[in-house]
Order: sequence, then structure tokens, then C-alpha cells
Amino acid sequence: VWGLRGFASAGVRGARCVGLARRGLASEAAAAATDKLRLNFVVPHKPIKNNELVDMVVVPGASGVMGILPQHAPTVAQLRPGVVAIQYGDRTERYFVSSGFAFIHTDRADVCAVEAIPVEDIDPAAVSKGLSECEATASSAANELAKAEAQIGIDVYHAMQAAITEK
Amino acid sequence: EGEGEGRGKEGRMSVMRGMKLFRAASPVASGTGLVRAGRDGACGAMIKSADAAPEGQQVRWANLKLIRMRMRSVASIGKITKAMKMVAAAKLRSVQRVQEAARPFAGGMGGLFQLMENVKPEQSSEAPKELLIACTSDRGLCGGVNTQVVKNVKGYIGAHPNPSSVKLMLVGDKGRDGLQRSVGSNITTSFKDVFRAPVSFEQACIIAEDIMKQEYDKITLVYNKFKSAIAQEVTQGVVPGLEFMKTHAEVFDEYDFESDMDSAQVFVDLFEFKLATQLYSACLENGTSEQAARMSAMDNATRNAGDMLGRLTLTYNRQRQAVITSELIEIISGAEALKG
Repeated sequence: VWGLRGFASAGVRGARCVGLARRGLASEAAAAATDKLRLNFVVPHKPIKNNELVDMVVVPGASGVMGILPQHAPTVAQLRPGVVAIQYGDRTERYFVSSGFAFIHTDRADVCAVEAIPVEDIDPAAVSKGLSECEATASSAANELAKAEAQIGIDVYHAMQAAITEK
Repeated sequence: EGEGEGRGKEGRMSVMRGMKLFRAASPVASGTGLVRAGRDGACGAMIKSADAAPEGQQVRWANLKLIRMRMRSVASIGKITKAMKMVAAAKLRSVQRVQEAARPFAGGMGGLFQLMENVKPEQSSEAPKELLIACTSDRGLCGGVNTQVVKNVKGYIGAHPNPSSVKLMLVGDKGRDGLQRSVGSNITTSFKDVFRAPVSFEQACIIAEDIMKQEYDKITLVYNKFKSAIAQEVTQGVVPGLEFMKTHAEVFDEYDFESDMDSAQVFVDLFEFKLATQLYSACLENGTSEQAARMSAMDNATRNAGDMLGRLTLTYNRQRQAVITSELIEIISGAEALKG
């Protein structure tokens, strides 16, 4: 019994040591390889996430909602108004972005948005007010340009409403 | 030179003449010059006692007053430049914070375009349409930053094989002063009041929209890069034009393009975004450089004002002592003359 217990504990200890050594030797490479995605989530006036290791990022691509996992193929994705969801393990952080581009390189993902705010910070009352203002402007627009600008506003506000309710 | 009451008026007139003579003789109010004049006046007093004394005396005290006025103005200038230096230092801190926070964005956008850096433009038969954007400040007193940009722009246009094809856009007022006369014909647009507050991305977008109205093959940004609080360097940043991007699109072959529009339209959007980003970071850098240069220029000015004030104080004291000495000599020699 003692011998067995001794062997077992030694075996456990040995396995742990080997595991630690493996992690110590190649920690960075391991992080980049399969587990985590290196994410830069930036807006012009500040970096929201700088070189953070995350599990997955879901971005509102113009051709559809895209999920970005580690080792995604290199892509340039145009973003439309929607929610960028960043997943760490079991928690998710959601940010509403107005538009921008997502560049997925071989070793990292750069999400460059023109403007981004946490979904929790959106005020529903302000959104509905803005939406009705834009709709009024669109219907009474003088020229094509003003109409197009108002239409963009409507799209963004609709997306914001969807972001809040989708929670 | 009359006598009695006449002396008063004529004495004053000759004081004016005397001041003019003194001013002509010693254009720089140096201490030694004034002292010499004072002594001569005193000697003159011994020979023509009653007549010369009033005018020599008046001139001496007048010069003292001039120096005192000068000292007061230099001191107030020193106070103003000191205040300007502190304001510039505070503004530098805030702009620098904005710039540091904005740097990751420029890095993120630049990541894709690094692939374009090694692509050489092919020689085309027609002259490429070029745009040169000169970033200068709105207000002066900021050291050499604006003259550096102006010099760089003039040199670029001067060395260009086809100067009239280069269109010039001015961001900031001060560029106009330097460039209006020499390359004024190249100027297409100018923006002012850009740098009143740290530039925002919306402002950069407005400028980018204006640029997009024309098709340019090559866009060059000339601005001051902020290296440190004492070093600001003129840099040229090149944004490859839209056509250039489209013709060399194979550098992006590795990347899939996801969009709900066709690839040409994506390029337009990408180009506009990139242009706005580069404008934004160039303007931030230039704004930071401007504040740093102003801070060091005002610091130098304050130090110079202090030095000048010190020299003037010494001159003043020397003159004051000379005046008192010569008055004493006059009085004592007069008393001696009366005694003897």
C-alpha cells in the first residue's frame, strides 16, 4: 500500500512537473497557437482592447455576422452598425459599433471601429428620440444627400435598438 | 541761452535739443556713454555754471526715466511669456494624452497597408495628380515648426519635375503666410481653426471627404512629428492614392474581403478610412509638436527677458549713481566757487 501510494504521488508530481516545464518553455507560442485569439479593438480616440487574449470575437460584418476564432483565415471585413461581442471563457462583453473595418491577420485580429460604446451604456429613450428625428428628416429631406444621411441615421438607430433588446 | 524767466522756456527747448544730441551721439543707451555725457555736463556746469546746469540735469534724469520705462516693459513681457509657457505646457500634456490613446488605432489601420510599402509605382506617361497637405498651426510664437513645414513644402514643389501639377492643401492658418507668395498658385483649399482643441476624428473625416472629391494618385502629408518635448521633426507621410491601390490590389490577395458591396466599393471605403486615419494622426502629432515648440520658445523668451532685465538694472544703477555723483560735484564745486 505504501509503495503504491508512493508511486502514485510520485507519478502525480512528475506529471505536474513535466506539464509546468512544457508551459514554461513555450508559453507565448502556446497562447498564439490554438487557445486564444490576440485582439486589438480600437476606436480613433482610444484603444478599448489592446493586445488582449480572448476566446472568440463576433463582429457585425456587412455580409453577415462573423465569428472570429483563433487561426481564422486572413480577412478584411467591412462592418455595419451592430454589436461586437468579445468572449472570455464564460463571460461576454458587448459593444455597439457604428461602422469600421475588421482586419484578421495570421497572428492577431484588429477591429477598427469609428465609434464604439458598451451596450449597457446605451440610453433607450435617447435612441427612440433620435430614430424619430431621423425618420422625420428622411421624409422631409431636400435632396438625395440629406436623405441618404438621414437613412444612415435610421439604420444605426435601428441597430442600436436591436442591440439593446437582443440582450 | 537767455537769463532769468527766459531761461526756463529756452532751457527746456535746449533740453530737447540736448536730448536729441545725446540720442544721436549714443544710439544705444549704454551705461558708459551716459556717464560720460553726465560728466561732460558737470564740467560744462563749472565753466558756464548757471546756463548749462538745468539742461544737463534734465537730460540725465530723462535718460534714467527712459531706462526705467524700458525695464518695466521688459519685465511685463517676461511675465506674459512665462504665462504663455505654462499654458503651452498644460495644453501639451492634454494633447499628448490624446495622441498616446490614439496611437493603437493608427497602428491597427496601418497593419494591412504595410504590405503596400514595398510596391514601387510604375512610371506612367502622364503626370500623376498629386496632393500635398501642409499641416501648420493657427497661431504663431511656436518656434520653428511652421517655418520647417513651409521650407519642406517649398523644397518639394521646387524639386518636382512638374510643379504646377502638385495641388496644395493647407491645414492651419500659418501655412498661408509662408506659402502664399511663392507657391500661392498651387493652393486649392485651406482649413483654419483646426488646432484650437486636439483634433477629433470627425474633423479628419471632413477633410478626407473634401479630398475624396478629387481623384489623386499620390497624397503626401507634411507635418511635424513629435519625438519629445524638445525635438520635433518635419516628416512626410505618404498615402497611396485610390487608383494606385486598385491597380496593385494583388498585394492583398492573401486576404478575403467580406462585404455586402463589390470589391471596388470596398476599396473606396477602405481608402477613405485610411486617409482619415492618417490625417487624424498627422494632425495630432502636429498639434503636439506645436505646443511643445511654443513651450520651449516661450521658455527661451522668458529667460532672455530675465537676462535683459538684469543688464538693464545694472545700467540703471550705474546711471543713477553717476547722476547723483555729478549733482554732488556741481553743488560742491559751486559752493567752493562761492567760498573762494
